[in-house]
Amino acid sequence: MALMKKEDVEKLAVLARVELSPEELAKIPAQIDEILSYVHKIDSVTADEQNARIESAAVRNVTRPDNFDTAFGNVAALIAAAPEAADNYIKVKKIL
Amino acid sequence: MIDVSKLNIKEINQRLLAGEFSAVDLANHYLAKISAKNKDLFAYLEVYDDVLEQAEKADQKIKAGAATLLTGIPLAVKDNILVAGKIASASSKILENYTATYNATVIDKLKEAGAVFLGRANMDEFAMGGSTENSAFGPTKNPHDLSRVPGGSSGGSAVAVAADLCVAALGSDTGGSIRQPASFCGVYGLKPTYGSVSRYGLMAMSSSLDVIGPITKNSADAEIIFNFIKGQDPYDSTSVTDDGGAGQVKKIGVPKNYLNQGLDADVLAQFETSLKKIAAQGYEIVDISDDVKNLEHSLAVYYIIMPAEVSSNMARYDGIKYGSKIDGANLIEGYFKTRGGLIGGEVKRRILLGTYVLSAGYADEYYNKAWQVRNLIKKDFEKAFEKVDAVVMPTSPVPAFKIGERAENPLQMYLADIFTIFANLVGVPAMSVPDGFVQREGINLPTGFQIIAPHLQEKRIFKLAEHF
Repeated sequence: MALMKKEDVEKLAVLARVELSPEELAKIPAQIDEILSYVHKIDSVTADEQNARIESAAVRNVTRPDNFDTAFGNVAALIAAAPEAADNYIKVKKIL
Repeated sequence: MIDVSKLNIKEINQRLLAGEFSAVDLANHYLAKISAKNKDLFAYLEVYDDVLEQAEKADQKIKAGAATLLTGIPLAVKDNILVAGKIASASSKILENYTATYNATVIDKLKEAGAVFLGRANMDEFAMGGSTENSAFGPTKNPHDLSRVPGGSSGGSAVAVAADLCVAALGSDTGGSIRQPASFCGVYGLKPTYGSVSRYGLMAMSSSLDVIGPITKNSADAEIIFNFIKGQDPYDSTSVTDDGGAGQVKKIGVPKNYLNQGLDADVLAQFETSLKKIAAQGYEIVDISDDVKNLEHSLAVYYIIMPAEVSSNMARYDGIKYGSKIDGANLIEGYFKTRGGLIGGEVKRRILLGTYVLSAGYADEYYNKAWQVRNLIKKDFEKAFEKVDAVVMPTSPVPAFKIGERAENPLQMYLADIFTIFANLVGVPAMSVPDGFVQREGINLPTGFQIIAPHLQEKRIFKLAEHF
C-alpha cells in the first residue's frame, strides 16, 4: 500500500512552493514512501502526554522588551544582497 | 618553513611566539598546499583573497604581545557559517553568489582571537547529506582513497584537516555531520552540547538539532577551539554557558544490543579492540542496553522532526531578499521557479517530507508523536547517565563508501547516521576520535570511536580521548 502517490507529492510541492521536474516527480513518491514506511516504527512506542513530558527548570522562554535601540549597521549591504532593489527598497512583483 | 603537519595548536603557537616562523609564513605555507592539492580533493570551494592580510594582522598582534593561542592559526570554515563580506553558499546554487552581511558569532570570537580564515569548505547542500555528494558544485574526495566519499555534510572541513590543508576547521552537526566525516577521514570531530556554541550566523537547517563544532587533528586542538567558540550569546536565545564540567569518568556505558544495526564486521572488531584498550585503563564498562530501549527509534524520530524543521527553515529562500532567483510571470510563480530550479534534490525531498509530517491530519501521527518519542529517548539517557559517566559506540556502522554507492537510495544514506543521531536528539556532546583502520581493496580506511557525555560535560570526552 503506497502511502505516497504522485498526486500527493504534487500537492506537497504546491504547499512548499517548490517546482518539481518530471524526472523528480517520477522518482520522489517512492522515495518518500520508503522513508515514511521506515519512520512508522515509532507507532509501536507507547507515548503520551504523561510519560513523554520533560520538566526542566533550565528550560524557560527567553524574551526581551520590544525596544528598537540599535539598528543593523550595514543596511546598504542588505539592500545590495537583494536580487532586485531600488532606492532603499527590496523590489518584489505585485501581490494584488 | 618547517613541517607543521604533525604539530598541535599549542606547539604552533609556541613557535610563532618564538619567531621561528611568522603567521604570514604559516598562511603562505597552507595557501601553497591548497594550491597543490585542492584540485584533486575539492575540499575548498573558495580560498579567501585576504588571507595574507589577515595573517599580517595576526603578526602585528604577536609582536604587540597580545597573541592568543589561536592568533595566526589558519582555519577552514564550512560554507554555511557566515563570514561578513565573503560568499557563503551552503554549497547551493540558490546562494551561489550570496555575500554574508554579518559575522557569525563564532567567527567574531575567532577573529577577535586572531585566527586566520583560509576559505570556505565544501559541504552537502544546506548540510543535508552524509557524503558531500549533495554539494551543487561537486563532491569532495576522501584523501585516504580518492574513489570514496569523505562523509558529510562537513566533508570539505574534514578533508581540509585530514589532508593538512589547514590546522583545523569549523563544521556543523545536525545528525552527525561533524562526527561522521571526521570518522571517514581519520580526524577528530566534536559536536558540543546543543546551545553551548551560538548558532547566530549558522544557516539554520534543523534548529533544535544544529550545533557548530571543531574538526581537528587531535583532541587538545578540539578543546582549545571549543573553549574559544563557546559561550552564551544574546543573539541566540537557545545558547547557554558551558564550562565543560569536572571531567571525572569511572564507568563507561555501551548499548551492546543497539550495535547490531548493519554494523560492518571489521568496524565492530575495531570498536571492540578500542573498547578493550579503554577498559585496560581501569574504566568499568557497563552494558546500558536495558536503560536505552527507545534508542532504536532515533533514526525514525530524526527523519520526522528534522525534515519538519527543514521545511520551515528553507522557506526563507525565495529569491527576494538575497541569493539567486529565476523569474516567473508573477510573484508566486517566481517562488516555484526559483526554488524549483536552484535547490537540489535531497533538499527538496526533505522539504516535501517535512511539509507532509506537519500538514493538517498528519501532524499528530508524525510530528507530535516524534517529539514524544524524542522526550522518551532523552529520559532514557538521563537514566543511563545516572549509572555511567560516559557512553561509547562506533561513530559509523561502515567505513567510507564509494562515491555514487548510496547516492540513489536516500534511506540507505540515512542509515549511515544510526550511531550519531541520538546525541543531537538528546542534545548531549559527542566526539569522534580516530581509532584505527579497516582494509578495503588493499587500502586502509579510518574508523571512528565515538565518545558521548552528559550535557555540558565535554571535559569527560577530552579525558577519554587522551587514551587514543
